[in-house]
Amino acid sequence: MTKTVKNTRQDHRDDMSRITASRDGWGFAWQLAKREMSGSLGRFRVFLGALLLGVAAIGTVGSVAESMRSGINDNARILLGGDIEISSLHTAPSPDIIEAASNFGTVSEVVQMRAMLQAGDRRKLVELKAVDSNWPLVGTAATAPSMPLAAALDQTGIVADDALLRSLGLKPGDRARLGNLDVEVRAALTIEPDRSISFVSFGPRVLISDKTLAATGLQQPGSFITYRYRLLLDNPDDRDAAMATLNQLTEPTHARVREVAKAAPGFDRFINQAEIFLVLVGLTALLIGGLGVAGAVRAWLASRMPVIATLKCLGAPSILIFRIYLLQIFVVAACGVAAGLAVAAIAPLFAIHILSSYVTVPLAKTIYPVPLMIAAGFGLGTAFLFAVWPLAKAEEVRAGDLFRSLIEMPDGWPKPRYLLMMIIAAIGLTGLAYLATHNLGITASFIGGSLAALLLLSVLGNLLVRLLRLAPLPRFVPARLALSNITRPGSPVRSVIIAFGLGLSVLVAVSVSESNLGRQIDNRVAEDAPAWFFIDIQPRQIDMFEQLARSIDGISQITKTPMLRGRVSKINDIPTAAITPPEGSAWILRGDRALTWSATAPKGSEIVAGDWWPSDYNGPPLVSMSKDAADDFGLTIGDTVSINVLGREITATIANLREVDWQSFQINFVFVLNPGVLDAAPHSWIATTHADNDAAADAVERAVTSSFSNISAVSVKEAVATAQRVIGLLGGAVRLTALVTLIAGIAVLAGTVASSESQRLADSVILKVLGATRLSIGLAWFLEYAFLGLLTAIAAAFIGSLASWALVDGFLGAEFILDGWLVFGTTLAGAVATAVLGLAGAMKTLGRKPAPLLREL
Amino acid sequence: MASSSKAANDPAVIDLDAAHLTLGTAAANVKILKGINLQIGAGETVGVLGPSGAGKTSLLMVMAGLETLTKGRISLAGTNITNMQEDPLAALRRDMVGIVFQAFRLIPSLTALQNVSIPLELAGRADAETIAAAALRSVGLGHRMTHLPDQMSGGEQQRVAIARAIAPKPRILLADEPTGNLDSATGEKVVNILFKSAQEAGAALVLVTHDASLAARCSRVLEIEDGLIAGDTKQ
Repeated sequence: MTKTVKNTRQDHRDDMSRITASRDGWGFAWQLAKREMSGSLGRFRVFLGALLLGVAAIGTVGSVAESMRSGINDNARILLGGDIEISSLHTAPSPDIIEAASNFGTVSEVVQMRAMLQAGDRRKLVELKAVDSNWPLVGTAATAPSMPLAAALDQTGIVADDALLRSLGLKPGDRARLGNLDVEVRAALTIEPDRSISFVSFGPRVLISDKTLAATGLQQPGSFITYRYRLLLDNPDDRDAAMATLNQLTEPTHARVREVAKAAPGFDRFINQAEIFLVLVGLTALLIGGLGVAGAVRAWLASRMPVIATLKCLGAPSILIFRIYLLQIFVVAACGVAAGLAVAAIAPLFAIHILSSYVTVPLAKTIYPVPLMIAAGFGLGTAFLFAVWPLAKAEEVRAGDLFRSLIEMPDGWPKPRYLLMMIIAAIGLTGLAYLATHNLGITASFIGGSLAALLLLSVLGNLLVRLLRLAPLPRFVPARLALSNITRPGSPVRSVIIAFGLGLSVLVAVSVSESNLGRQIDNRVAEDAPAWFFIDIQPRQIDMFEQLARSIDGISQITKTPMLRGRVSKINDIPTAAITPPEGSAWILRGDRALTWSATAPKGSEIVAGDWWPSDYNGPPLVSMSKDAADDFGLTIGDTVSINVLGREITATIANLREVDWQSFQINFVFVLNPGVLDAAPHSWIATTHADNDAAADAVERAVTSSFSNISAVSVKEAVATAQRVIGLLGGAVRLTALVTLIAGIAVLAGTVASSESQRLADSVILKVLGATRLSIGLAWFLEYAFLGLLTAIAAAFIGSLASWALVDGFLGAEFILDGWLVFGTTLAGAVATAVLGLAGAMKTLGRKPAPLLREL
Repeated sequence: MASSSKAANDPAVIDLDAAHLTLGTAAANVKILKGINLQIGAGETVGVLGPSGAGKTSLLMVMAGLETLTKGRISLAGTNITNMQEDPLAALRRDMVGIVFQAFRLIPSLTALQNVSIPLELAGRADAETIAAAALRSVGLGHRMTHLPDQMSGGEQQRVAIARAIAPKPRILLADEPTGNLDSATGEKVVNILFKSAQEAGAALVLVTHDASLAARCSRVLEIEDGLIAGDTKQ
């Protein structure tokens, strides 16, 4: 026996000598991870779903935006209509500018304005575009029936949008009235290469020749006419020289020059803003999905506790445990991310199909790797961020607990190195968010806001549970079981309230805000809105116009004001190019602004600083400015604003500030000057008419447009419909956020239900042994999720209403009315969804027979 | 009264000196071991008997380096492990201690061979699978190597657990109620294998049990009561 022992020791020493090194590296961790992982992917459904949703959303948005941007870039010359464009309002740029341009290549003239097209007794406001024989310099226009453009526009020919022709009952060969001229419809316009990309338009397109425009008599002094001269360079290398020459020539005038890089500045801005918004939607999904990831990882690790403890008993160091499970999490995350990327690669094809009616350039059906890589980074980063905590706690599991079958996930904070990893991951994700949105302010405030909302939901959840604990338990057994399940330590109530509550809060906020805005527009339309805005009224026509309008029965109120447009060129002598405008008032510097003059303060406006000038004031130019705009630019009484009007720069001193109610349907201006400054410039008048009834409204429009062929009538009803449509689009986009966050919330709810499945199974078996029927157990569970839904609904109603109030009252400055029924309805739907989904998930354990399970317990 | 014994000529592989263990609960601290002095030599087989809650399993966990003493000292094969950190302890366990649990504690997703290989692979043994296969054959499971735990009977699973414990040729073999989940015939078979394996490995075997007849098969029997050694009998 002694010999045997000695031999064995010798063997042992020999064996030990063959040990090369302790194997706790990544390679060995991977071997063990692979062995353990097989067949476990199905346990990560929630994890996979949450990552798929977030990655797909971010990847799709990025790909679609990239596709539109490259569509615009690739077709910039077509969109611009040439290499360089010189444009001006009211009057054409001076001939020397056009002549200078023509030295560099071919120039084409396009004139755009609004006008009324009349067919029989039907009239429509249209966007008129008059072109010369060189148009289009780039791209090709097409008509149906197909014919050469020159032939279509020859004599008094017009081509127009098919929808317009149908609405006026016109077909090729029919005649219509445009200004003073009878025109002949030749064809429908099917392709207009330089059509601007926009979601909102005031009227359908009518294309005519420049000669026809001249014959219509519509080009009146002061009318709102845009002149565009497109230059196609003979030699592309001349671009810089041409830009330098034209910039120098136009600088002191009212004309402006732009090149292909800014072919669609408005739409570019729209794409960027939409992308930011939609990326943030994806981030919300990932944020909520992250809770699902953490829950799923925790549940997975909880089920692996005996294995982890066993490995530790067998000598596995902590870091090996961390690596084994981190690798498994990464493999699962990679599957979720890959699935999300697959969706993101395919989805743009459908999105492009939908967008093609708005975007007039061809969009390439290709895969854009950068947005997909960013989306993948988001997915893996989120999975890592939310998995580290449970992973770090798993490595701390006490191996000794194996002896007592009491293995539980340890509580408390993870070790500092893991907290550091989480901080690095969070910084990395913020960096990625910045890469995706290019806007640190919005990204930071979004993430901050989301975290604040999550914190608030968490606090509310805790508060509600504490209150429930204080309440006496009901005598009805299922209700008692339900309540005790919610209030017990470790109940899923907080994660459900956070995850589901965030989506529901957004839904409440959107519904309440939209209802508030919609109601206010409706109320304003009913109370204040005029029936028509009449534009391009010539000074010589204004008295006749007023006389005519007043002669019609039912016209209760007519307001009129002179108007022309000018560009803000300097503020306090600083050129606007050197000013970074505040976000809310950037539009004031972006384009030409409407200007007017008045001897007295405009009706309904409130002077909040300074005084209105005397009615006979005849000194240096003074301006009255809207207070909001002045505040945004930091301007006050005595500061100066320089405005370029038709090439002449007028510098006016701010004499007073007005509170302007932009939501009223009054004619409002940012800038009102004193009389005597602009009166002599070519200008037109704008007027509104209020009608007591629809018949009077129709009568005034008919009378005015048939008496004055150059005056266009803009229907307030249609403008409001357009505004409502835009609000609807915005509401739809925000509702999409709510939907995505709700789906992510459902994933988390499903995960919570799944992770408590074994506990629920054990409970149901014990309850059945004690004599509970399936009905009473099912009822208890239903009540549990109903209570949970109710708590979530209360939290969401509070936070959603608060957010809506902040938006409507604080941000938009409108009156906030809390629609209790709407909040109740929305949150009730959420509560019912929570109860039904939770119960549906839990029910599958109810059908299991107790006997086989009892043997395992 | 704490008692002690020591193999005459061999240094002790397990050496406890005034070992105290107190565990904290939410309600109060509970004194589990109250000053145990114990030396176990190489090749000794020690049965540990005692009522529930006496501290038998805690003593085993202390010997495995899975519980840290509140007071006193413990050495394994001459190495003082009293204040050793978790990872060095894990490495020491890997190289020196084999453990057999009442509930087998096999990793369900791994085959029998993979389960037995794990401690060898953790030690960086290139021949892990060969040794594991030999260990499985030695417990009569050469034909079950590719089976998963849930494809085997309880007795077979416990034999795999014994193979896993003895494969690295540990100096110490700890068994906690190894027959507790088995019928008597299977239990007898498993115990035979356990004793045979410990003998072949030259390991000290410490076996916690409620079964006096099983303890009687050991060369030494310890009786634990209320955290102290109440009896220490050599047979």
